[in-house]
Amino acid sequence: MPEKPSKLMPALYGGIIMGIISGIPFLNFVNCLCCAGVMFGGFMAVFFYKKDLPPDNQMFTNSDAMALGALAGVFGAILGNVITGVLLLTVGNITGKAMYNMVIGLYDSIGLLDKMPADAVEQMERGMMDSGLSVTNIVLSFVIDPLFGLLGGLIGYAFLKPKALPPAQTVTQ
Amino acid sequence: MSKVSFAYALALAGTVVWCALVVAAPYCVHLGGSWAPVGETIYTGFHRICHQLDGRSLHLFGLPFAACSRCTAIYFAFLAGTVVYPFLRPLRTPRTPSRLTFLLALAPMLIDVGLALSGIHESDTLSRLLTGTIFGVMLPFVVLPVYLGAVHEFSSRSSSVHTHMKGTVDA
Repeated sequence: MPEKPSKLMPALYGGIIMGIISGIPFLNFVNCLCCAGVMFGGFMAVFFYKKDLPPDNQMFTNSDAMALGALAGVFGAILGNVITGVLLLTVGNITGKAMYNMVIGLYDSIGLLDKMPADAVEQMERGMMDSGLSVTNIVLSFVIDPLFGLLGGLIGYAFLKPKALPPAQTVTQ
Repeated sequence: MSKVSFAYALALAGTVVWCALVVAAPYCVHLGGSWAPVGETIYTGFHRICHQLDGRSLHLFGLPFAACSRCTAIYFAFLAGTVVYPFLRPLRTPRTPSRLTFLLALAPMLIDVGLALSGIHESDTLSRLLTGTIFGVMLPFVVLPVYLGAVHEFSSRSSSVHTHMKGTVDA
C-alpha cells in the first residue's frame, strides 16, 4: 500500500494563509464573519494535501482532514501573533483605531454619539485600542484558531473528499 | 455507549457550552462583583472572532451578547442542527450533503453581507438572524459526518491494533 504524503507542509501552507488573514490589519475583518479567515486556512490545508495525493485518492480519510485543520490552526495562531506583534511595534494598533473611528462615525451619523455618556465612549475607545496583543489574546488564539481551523478542515473534506469507487464487479470466465 | 455516540455527545456538549458563553458574558457583567471579570474575559475571547458592534448585537440586561446577532444565530442554529442530527441521519453511516446544498445555505448570508458592503441594501437584525440561521442549521450536516467518520476511523484502527496485539499475545 502506498504511503500517505506528509501533513506538515499542507498544514503549514494553510497556517500561513490563516496567519496572514488574522495578522494583517483590515484583512482580519474577514474573521468577523464567524472566523471565516481561520476556517479558510483549514480548508486550504485540506486542499493542498489533496493535491499531493494520487488522483484516485482513496487513502484520504476524515481523520486526515481533522488533523490537517487543527495543525493549520496551530501554525496560523503562531504566525498571526507574530505578524500582529511586529505590526503593533512598528505602526501601532491601526485596526483598533480604524474600528473606533468607524463606530464613532456611525453613532455620530445616527445622532447617538451626543446621547452617549462620556464614560461609555471612553470605555469603548479603551476596549478597541487595547485589543492588540495581550497574554489573554495569545492564549485564546491557540484555542480558537485550531478549533475553527479544524472546522474548516471538516468542511474542506466534505467538499474535496474522494468519490467512492464503484463496487467491484465479479469477473466470470 | 459506543465511541461514535460518545463523540456525538461531546460535540453536542461543546456546542451547548459555546452557546451558553455567548449569553453568559452579559449576564456575568450584569451580576457584577467577581463575575464581572469572567464576563469581560468571555467578551475578549469572542472579540477574536466577532466585531461585537453594539448596534448589531442582541442584548441582555442592556448589555450586548458576546457575539453579534449573525454569529449568535449561526451558533444557536448550529446547536439546533446538532440536536436534530441523529433523528435525521444515522450516526454510524455518516453522509454529507451535496456541495450545492452547502452553497445554497451559504448564499443568503453572502448576499446579505455583499449587499451591505456594497451599500445597495443595509442589512437589519432580522436579515442577519435569518441568513445566519439558514447557514448555521445546515452546518452540522456538513461537519458532523466528517467528524463522526474520523472518530469511527480512529476507533476501528485502535480496535484492529488491539485485536492484532491480543492475537500476538494469545499466540
